[in-house]
Amino acid sequence: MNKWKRIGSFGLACTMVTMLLAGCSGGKEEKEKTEEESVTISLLNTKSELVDQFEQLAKTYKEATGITIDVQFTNDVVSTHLSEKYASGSPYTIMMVDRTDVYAFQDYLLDLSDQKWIEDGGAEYGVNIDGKTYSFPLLVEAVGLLYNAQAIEETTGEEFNWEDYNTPEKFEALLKELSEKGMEKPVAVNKDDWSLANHYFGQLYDQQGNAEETSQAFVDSLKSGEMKLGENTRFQSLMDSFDMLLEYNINSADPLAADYDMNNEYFANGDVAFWFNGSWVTDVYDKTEKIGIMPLPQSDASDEANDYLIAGASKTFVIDKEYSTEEQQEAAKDFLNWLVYEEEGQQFMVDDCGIIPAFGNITKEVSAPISVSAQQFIKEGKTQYWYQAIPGDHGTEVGAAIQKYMSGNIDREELAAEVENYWKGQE
Amino acid sequence: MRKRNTFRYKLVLFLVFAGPAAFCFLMVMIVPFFYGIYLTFTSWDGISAVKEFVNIENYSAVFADSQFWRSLLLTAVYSLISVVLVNILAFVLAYLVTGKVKGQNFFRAGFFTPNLIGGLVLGYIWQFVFSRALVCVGTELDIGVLSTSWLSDPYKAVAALIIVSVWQYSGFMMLIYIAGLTSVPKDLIEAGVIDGCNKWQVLKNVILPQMRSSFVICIFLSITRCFMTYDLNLSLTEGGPYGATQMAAMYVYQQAFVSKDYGAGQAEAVILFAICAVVSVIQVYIGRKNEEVLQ
Repeated sequence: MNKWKRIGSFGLACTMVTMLLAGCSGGKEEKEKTEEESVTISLLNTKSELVDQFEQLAKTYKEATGITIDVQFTNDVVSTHLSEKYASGSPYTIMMVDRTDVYAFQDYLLDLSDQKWIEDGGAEYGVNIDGKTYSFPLLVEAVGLLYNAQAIEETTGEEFNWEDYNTPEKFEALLKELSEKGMEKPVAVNKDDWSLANHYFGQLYDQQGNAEETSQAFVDSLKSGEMKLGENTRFQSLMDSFDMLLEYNINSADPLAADYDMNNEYFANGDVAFWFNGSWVTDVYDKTEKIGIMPLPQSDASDEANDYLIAGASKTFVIDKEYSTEEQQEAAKDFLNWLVYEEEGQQFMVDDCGIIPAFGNITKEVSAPISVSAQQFIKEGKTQYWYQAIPGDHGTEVGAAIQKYMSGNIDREELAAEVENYWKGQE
Repeated sequence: MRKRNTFRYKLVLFLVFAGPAAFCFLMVMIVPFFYGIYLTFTSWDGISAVKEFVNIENYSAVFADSQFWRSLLLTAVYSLISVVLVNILAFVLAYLVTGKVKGQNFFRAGFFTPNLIGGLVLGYIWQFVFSRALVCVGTELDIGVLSTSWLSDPYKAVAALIIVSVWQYSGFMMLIYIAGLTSVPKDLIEAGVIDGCNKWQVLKNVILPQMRSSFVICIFLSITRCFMTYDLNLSLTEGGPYGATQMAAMYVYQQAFVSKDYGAGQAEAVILFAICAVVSVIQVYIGRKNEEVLQ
């Protein structure tokens, strides 16, 4: 009796140990098994407005090719999320990243220079390092002032044409008129640091001669400490316009309590006429389609700042070569080609996501009004270079400084000093 | 009959029963801890394959980083206030629900519930409360303090953090105090009453001294939790407004992953660990010592 009990308990303990060890190694076996059957690739989506579309895409792609795409989404800072993933050795096969991340993660990324789509715009809009293209430009985006023409026309009773209001004087007169005629606060200003620091304040780095080299030279002069923002006309001009937006800000009672979703709603409903944001805004067409994007009116009109829209390829796909198998890498390349050259792929980009494609072979026209409006600038060649090599902590650090400025805790000089300090710390 | 006192037998016995747990503990706690300490001596950016050895450069950088010390000071202030409030409230709640209140179990469950909601979700719920609900009430009823969002003012945002942590943790601590209260021997209380104590005197002279160990545990738990707060900080204020409520854990994360300075971030984490460990050890030591004196 006693003997059996002992054998029994020993057996039980052994089973538990085996189960535990099996649990540790289980993951790997499973992975190999599925790979034999068919390739599964993982894809990281980092655009919150495209979550549903990517889920749908995975289904479409599975039907078309039999390959499973495991779509994941994150709202984190992309480089942060990826460094965690790489630290744990489990990155995605295809990752949607910001342009700066391509430089940071270059060692881990697959060289895509031999792909067919390189010829059709990939080389022009992708990220090239030492003559090799490492990224697939998913879309072209624009940053600027969104306007709700319907709301403006209903309030003023006159037709709205953005070109009539592209100087700060004319623009402020319009804001004043709107304010007097019932739309008390016609502007929505975000408090999100990416919007304030990387987009609004980012115009300072963009509008520096409309070329990569000149923007880079400007940033380098900030890093070395030569540039004094207080004496910079672009800085002053941007801050003048910022003050104007803040004066008519619907959140002016408490600017730091602004909420992105609320701003989105104000704009879509026509409670405000203007919102500084970008062409990625998609869910604002419930009430009207008369919505478009224009450059921010500024006193310093050099570099065609008031006529040219800041646009460029922003989010871009890269393929991991360190942790993905050969088959996965091939499948990932096939997927990118499918996006560019197959009807269903093009449909996904242009119709479903409403994005402006970077590839010349795609003749589909975008339908979303903001994208149409932005595409107009691109077609006419009226685009401003978009400097995107901003460090990961630019958003939090410079964003905090601008938030202090918005809430009146520091003045323009102190803001300039904080930004200068930030850049000096970047070596 | 097999011999039971040989080394081999004991080893096998140990491995069978404690082995799996020891293995897991080693792999997920001990190894990462020492690997982390190793990383503080490198200039790793969290991405590259090379980890360059830089000696104690990271530590000297951290000691010179005023922003880190500011966030640490904020954490200390936040923890101090939270710990005091959490424990007072938890004890009062525990005292009330162990008295002769109707629906005791309902109240116990109710006060404990916040603890079951994850810190992140909790943060988002309270973010809505502070930035929308209270503002709405404040403007309607014309209450000055509430008419602007608490989260957009650096001091009120810290207050908001404290309020939410107190709300979250007091239920949990309450459970420990309930256990402590119910284990106070009835005869001691009766003896006190016979000797002519009123309710307050019973509480002060009999119950409180008997519950010393509950206090030691609760204060220890609340100190470590408050010092390491990250989830609530992230979801409620996101370190804002303008980074004014960025507490130590969040600052460490920012440094390591956002500013891509893993070595320095890890060095800060080690310092945070050391401070937390010292505070906890001192607190437990003092608590225990008093306990011994009493007995």
